[in-house]
Amino acid sequence: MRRAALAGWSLLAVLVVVASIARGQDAPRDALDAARARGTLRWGADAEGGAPYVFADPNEPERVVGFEQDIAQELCKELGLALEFVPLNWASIYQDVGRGAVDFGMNGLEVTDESRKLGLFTRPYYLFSEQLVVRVTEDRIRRLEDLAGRQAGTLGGTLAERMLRDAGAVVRTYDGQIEPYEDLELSRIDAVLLDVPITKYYARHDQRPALRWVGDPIGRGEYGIVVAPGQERLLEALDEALGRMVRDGRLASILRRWDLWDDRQWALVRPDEAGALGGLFEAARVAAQGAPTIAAPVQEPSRSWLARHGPLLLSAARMTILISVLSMALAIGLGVPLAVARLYAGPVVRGLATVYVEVFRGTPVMLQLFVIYYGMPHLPPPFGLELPPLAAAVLGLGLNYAAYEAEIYRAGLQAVPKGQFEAALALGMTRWQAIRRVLLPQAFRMVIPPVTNDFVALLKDTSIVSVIAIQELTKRFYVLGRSDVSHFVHLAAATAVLYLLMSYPLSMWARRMERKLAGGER
Amino acid sequence: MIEFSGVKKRFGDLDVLRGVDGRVEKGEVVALIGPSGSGKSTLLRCLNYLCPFDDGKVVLGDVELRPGLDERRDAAHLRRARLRAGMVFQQFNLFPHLTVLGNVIEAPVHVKGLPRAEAEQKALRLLERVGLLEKADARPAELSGGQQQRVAIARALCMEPDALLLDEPTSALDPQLVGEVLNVLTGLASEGQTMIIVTHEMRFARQVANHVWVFDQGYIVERGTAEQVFERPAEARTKDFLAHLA
Repeated sequence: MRRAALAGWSLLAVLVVVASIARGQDAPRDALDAARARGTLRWGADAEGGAPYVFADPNEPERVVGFEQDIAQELCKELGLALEFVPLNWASIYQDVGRGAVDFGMNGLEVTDESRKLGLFTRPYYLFSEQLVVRVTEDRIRRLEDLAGRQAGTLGGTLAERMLRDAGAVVRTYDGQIEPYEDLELSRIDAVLLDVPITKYYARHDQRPALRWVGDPIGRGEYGIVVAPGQERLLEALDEALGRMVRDGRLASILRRWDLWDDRQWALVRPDEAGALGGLFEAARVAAQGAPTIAAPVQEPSRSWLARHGPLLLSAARMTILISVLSMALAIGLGVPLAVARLYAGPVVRGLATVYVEVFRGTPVMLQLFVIYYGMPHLPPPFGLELPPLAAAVLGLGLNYAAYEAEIYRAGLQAVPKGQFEAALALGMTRWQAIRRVLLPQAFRMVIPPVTNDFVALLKDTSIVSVIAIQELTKRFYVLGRSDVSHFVHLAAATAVLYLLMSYPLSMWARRMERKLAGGER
Repeated sequence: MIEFSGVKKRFGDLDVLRGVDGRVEKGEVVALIGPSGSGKSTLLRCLNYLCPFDDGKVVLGDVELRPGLDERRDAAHLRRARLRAGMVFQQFNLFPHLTVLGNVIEAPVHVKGLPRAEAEQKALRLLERVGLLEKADARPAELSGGQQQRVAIARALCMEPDALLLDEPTSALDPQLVGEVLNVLTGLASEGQTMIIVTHEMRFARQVANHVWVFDQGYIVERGTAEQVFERPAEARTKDFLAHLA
């Protein structure tokens, strides 16, 4: 979990507590009834999490695949509902489940004492352990204990991180599962400890010949499906469906298809279920025969990477433009009155405008997005708005940038010669008329270059909104890049080119306006 | 028509006006002369309250100005005063985002509420009078300083003020452009336009002004007809000032 996100949560926790006291407890809607009425069950996960959990199909990147997708599909079949995939940000899945944006979360979520406080968990659907990976040239590290004092990488907030810390390693945490192995190859760290499924897909020896697995998998944890607190009926329904999948061997065959079946998975079966294990035994028999367990769940792509991913990157770029334009419109619409208030209003209004500017400039925009998206629903009416992600993104970025635009327009207004204001007053205009008809039009022209520069900055800042589950360009790049590792760099370059195509013409225009204004004024 | 008494203004430690009185009748042209920093421009700006004064009072027709008026609270009152006294600035202060015609009709339309067509007709007549009809659609930045100042005069006149307050209208101009502005002002004077002019153009003051007021250190030290003041100055300070010019 990212550090800024963590800061967001702590602030949010305070807000939620305060708000729930203010609001009192009201009974949540029953998610199972609502899903039945809708006919769909909404599953939330982060496709950026990558293979083999849930990831963009490299062949048809517009759909997701993975062993969790297969499990979700079977669960929905059991419940007689259609599956709806909702792309989320991994760091905030619990909160999205909690606010009812999705019915359940399933995305390599570890069942721990801490995570149990955030939601209700079903029985586990996979028992994971950790695999240690080092460079082939490494001969000092044979066991976890050898990492004491050495640099080791893993994903933040996981069992693996706790194990590394217990072993005395210097831990470096990552947000993605490709980066630790990259750093390992580059000798920036000495070892990587990650969940076996990740290791199997991102540290295969044929793809990364410079790396080697050390020893057997170690440690043990459970992946579970999470539903919102209070949704006992949905929990029970999912639990029963999962139980049937365990007993008739469907779960085992899904795991086998993804090369995830091993002897440890026997523990998925509860002792009292031992009598009805026909399907599971069958699965075990096939596994024991040493049949090629990975039946190529994902086929080799037939089309070029650009043909497969290009349209998706373009549609994500459109989302980036949409968010940027709407946010900037809001930022200017709000920034101009703020600037006027700071310069010309009475002391109270001027003070409020100053506080606004300082607060929004002085706190991270990511935190502001968190509060708007996850915090506001907890507030008492009429502030307790549950905004859809796009509205929350535009509101968050717009409110934040308004503070910056206000300062630009303030500078612009101050740069208008004093004689202009006097001439307007001398002609009988009121202050407000003078501001509106004489000062603002001149300030508007003067600030075109800095405002355009800000718009370019905003264009890139939109990548922040992926924290509230919007698939804009950067997020889309990560999702696609993790599903098609061999084209990760190509995709990065293509994404950069798209950003450049969006921002460069604006920069050019700003520069031209700057020259024109510098030369054309007396 | 314009009357003021006991007007005092202080900027920090500096007494710019130490209590001045005066009266200007309809049709008169009054030239304010004196060394720089003697308070003549400040008095002009007090007359339409662009410069709020500390003591005394100013009466413009039926509108009385006193210390302590507020731009927001007393906006209507100040507007009535300013409609009676149009102002022309040393630096022209035309609105650069508007055309010449736009500058002239801006206040008639948005302050007086004149229909645009009517305001334009009137503005074009005034532009013709200052010799700039063909520049109606130009931007201020495309005009010479002398042309800009003539537009500024037309802009002030278009509000039909009782009097024009002109604050060193030719001081920012290249010498060869001064004449065209003074010609316009001379024409206005001959038509009976009431004007109060802060000026360093003594020849112009002599020819056009009915009255000349001499400022020194915050006081009006001498006043009289142009002939009296320039030919037979009574005050030593006037003589000093005139001697320095020569």
